[in-house]
Amino acid sequence: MRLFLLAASWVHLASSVLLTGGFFMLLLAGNPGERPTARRWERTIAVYSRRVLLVALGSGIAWLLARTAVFEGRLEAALEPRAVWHALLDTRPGLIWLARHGLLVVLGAFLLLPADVRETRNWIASRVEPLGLGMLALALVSGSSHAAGVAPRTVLAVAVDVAHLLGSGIWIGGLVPLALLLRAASREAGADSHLYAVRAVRRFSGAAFATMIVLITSGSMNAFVQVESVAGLAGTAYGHLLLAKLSVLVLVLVLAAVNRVRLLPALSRPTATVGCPAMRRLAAFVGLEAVLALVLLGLVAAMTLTTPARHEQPVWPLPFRFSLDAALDGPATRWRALLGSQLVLLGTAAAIASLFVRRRRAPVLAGALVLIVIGAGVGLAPIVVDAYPTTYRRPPVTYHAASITPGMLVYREHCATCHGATGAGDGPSMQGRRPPADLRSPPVSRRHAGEIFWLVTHGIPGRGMPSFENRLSNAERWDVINFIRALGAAGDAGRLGRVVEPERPWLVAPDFAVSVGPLAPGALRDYRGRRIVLLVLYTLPGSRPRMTQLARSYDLFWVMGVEVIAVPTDASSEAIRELGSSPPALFPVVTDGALDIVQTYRMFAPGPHAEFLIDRQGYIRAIWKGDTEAMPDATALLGQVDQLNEEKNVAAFPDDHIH
Amino acid sequence: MPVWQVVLLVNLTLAVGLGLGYAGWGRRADRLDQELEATRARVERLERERAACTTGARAGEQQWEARGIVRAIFPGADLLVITHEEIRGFLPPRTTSFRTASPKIRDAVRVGDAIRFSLRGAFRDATIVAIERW
Amino acid sequence: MVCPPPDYSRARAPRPHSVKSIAPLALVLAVCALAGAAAGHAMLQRTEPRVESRVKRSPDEVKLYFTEPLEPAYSSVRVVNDRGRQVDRGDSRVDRSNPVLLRVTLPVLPPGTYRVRWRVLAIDADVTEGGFAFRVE
Repeated sequence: MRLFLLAASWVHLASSVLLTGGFFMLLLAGNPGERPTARRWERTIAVYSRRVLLVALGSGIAWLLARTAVFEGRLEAALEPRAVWHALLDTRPGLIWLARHGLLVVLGAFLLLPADVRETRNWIASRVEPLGLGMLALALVSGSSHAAGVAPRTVLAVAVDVAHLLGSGIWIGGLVPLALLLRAASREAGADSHLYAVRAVRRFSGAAFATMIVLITSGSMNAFVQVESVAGLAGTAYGHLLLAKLSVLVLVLVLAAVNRVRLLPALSRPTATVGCPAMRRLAAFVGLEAVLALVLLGLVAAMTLTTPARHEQPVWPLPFRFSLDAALDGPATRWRALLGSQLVLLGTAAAIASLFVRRRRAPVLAGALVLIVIGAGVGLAPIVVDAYPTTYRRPPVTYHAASITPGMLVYREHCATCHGATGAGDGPSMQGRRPPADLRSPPVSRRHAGEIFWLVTHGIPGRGMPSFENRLSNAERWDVINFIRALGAAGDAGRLGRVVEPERPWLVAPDFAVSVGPLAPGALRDYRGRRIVLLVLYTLPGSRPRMTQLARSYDLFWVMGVEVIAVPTDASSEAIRELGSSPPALFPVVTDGALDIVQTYRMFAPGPHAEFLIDRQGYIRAIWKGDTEAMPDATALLGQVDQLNEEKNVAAFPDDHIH
Repeated sequence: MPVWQVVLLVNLTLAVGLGLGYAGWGRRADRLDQELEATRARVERLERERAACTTGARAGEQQWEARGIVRAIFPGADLLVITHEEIRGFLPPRTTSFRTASPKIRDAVRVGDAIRFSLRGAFRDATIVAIERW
Repeated sequence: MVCPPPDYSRARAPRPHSVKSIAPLALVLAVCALAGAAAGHAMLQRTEPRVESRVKRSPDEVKLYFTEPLEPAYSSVRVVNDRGRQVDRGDSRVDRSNPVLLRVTLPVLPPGTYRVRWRVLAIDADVTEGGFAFRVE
């Protein structure tokens, strides 16, 4: 069914494009006047347009039937009138289909009119109207395309997609009629329209150039939104299709360049014998361009049926990747990278310069290439790092206490023997062997989560790390990776003090579930963009004076935009009762799942009592450790809150998943 | 008719037809949605008034059922402070203080109990008329 | 018969064959790679209850947040128990105020493992489906 859908989609797209381009070419070539060949060509294009319109309508109906079958999930649905009606009228793609085919039907009725086009007004009107209707029908394709699913800034994405569609309609669609015109005018009998054809092809060349700029800009903008990264380009089906489309496009552009630069001027060279064969050759090349462009449309149709790269987990195909971060590891690598990049720049400059030099072009170009190769060899080596198929996979579980704490338990049972209790690589099994990297250090934090997943799954045979594929489930392995990230973050948390610092926040607060009694649980994430959170890990009876203080000042905090969340370290389900009612503590007290929260946040601040100030974006901005210092009183705390409330440059929300 | 006049006629018909159709249908759909919402809210309110009536309330009073946790008790003011879930047609999930209809109700619970409770009254004056363990 | 010599009195002067016409095309080649039709299928972004989570209390409803707006006419979700029987209330719907949210309400569930199966149609007319599990303890 998908193959049928692809074929219907391709034929429909191609015929809509050819329809638009045909009328564009008729307008561009101008009034043929009394030239018989040109007028014959115009009639041919009119007949050809009618046929293409029928193909467009037919393939459109086939597309609708195939889509109905896909929506319903059953093949028979394509032939059930009720199902088709439902798909047509109750979905947005269906309504857009209706609008587009209504326009095409009006276009067809218009083409069937016998028209008297002797007057210029009528001649122009009879070309502009079908062109306008065709372009509108083509532009409406964006309404149910993937650009319509982009949020936010949907209007911009759709406008860019419309520009792309119309540009390709004009350019690709115009190639076939142009080829037909050139062939007709290059024959002996067609000599009367020779100049007409030359003028047409010149105008088309100029229009195609402008259209190409529009296509490139709109295409780049589309791709930046949908592919987002090199990993998406190299590691997903969508990315591969894009690369295939690029290669076809390169061929087409080479052809177009040859046409524009070599064959077009040849048409006007003042040697009588060169005129006609040159035009015939140009017609052949333009025809070849048209065929390649239609193949390109097939790839485009396939892309519209594929998940975009930004929504898929990329599978990295190469055993290595380039990592600019690795270049900053040590002074030696930094110098190498710098030297290499300078050589490459020099080589590129020389290559560009060789284009302008006329006499010694070959040696300059050769020298430039040598420079580039040497520069690449020197500069790229330090930034080449190992990569695995899962390097760019995003974890399926979020950075959440309910994942970090099980990860901690798995680590203690399976990993601590070699990696040590704190990740330093000093476990008891490592006596006399080369220790593994410190899990809290920057090189490990820099590794992508997917890389660590691969190493945990398959082990590092050379260094003695076993494979855990059979010993731990997928979920457990991702939990361990969440824990390792938290470990690294906790190691750095020492940099956070008792006072909020107005620089960029960096310490992401692990998410957790806030479950007060039997009520529906919320999450820390719910406070994003709304309230500052003061997370209090407390132990009775030692924390009672502090809890009384917080209970008394709670309404003041609330007014200033702070929510207090209290988590008892003994995870008692009677916590609310134990906190007592004089004064009553009215802030949320977690009674379910407190253990996960306590064990995760104790990594950042051990001890019986700790408080964390988490800003509205979800970053921890200050930590108070009860075992070493006194807790800030209400005034001091509110001073910190004031600072947070007055921050101008608000950081972006952190990602739910680690990288 | 000359071609250019036909073209003008066709374009005008399309524009007027599409524009009117979109405006008419779109607005009608929006209006229907709003009416549906309003009707749903009205039905729920009537249900609550009926429930209140069967238990002997005055005209215009509604009855709500809700669930929550007791956070504080103030006997002197007949007040219970409860952290509750959304009370449909009344309050979002939050911590609110409610008056109790009689001291007997208030004495039956302690701080930290999970309860189901019934509220009766007219918005600002809703009081708790019944409590049971959840 | 030879083609008649063309009449050049009305033709424009030929373009000079120079690098000026190649350089823009070279630039075109370099950047053109990125032309791509936007493609979007709705993928699951996050859920309540969370994927593979264990919950103490039976949830009132299952909420699924997707990456793209959904078509209400063909988007649905079901919850089945470990014997394959449907346990939700059958009122799965796309939230009216948030087109990326799909929700269905549940009655009180006994402890056990439950699978959520979803099938959605995104605005770009393509169907995606999937599932995840959660435990009630």
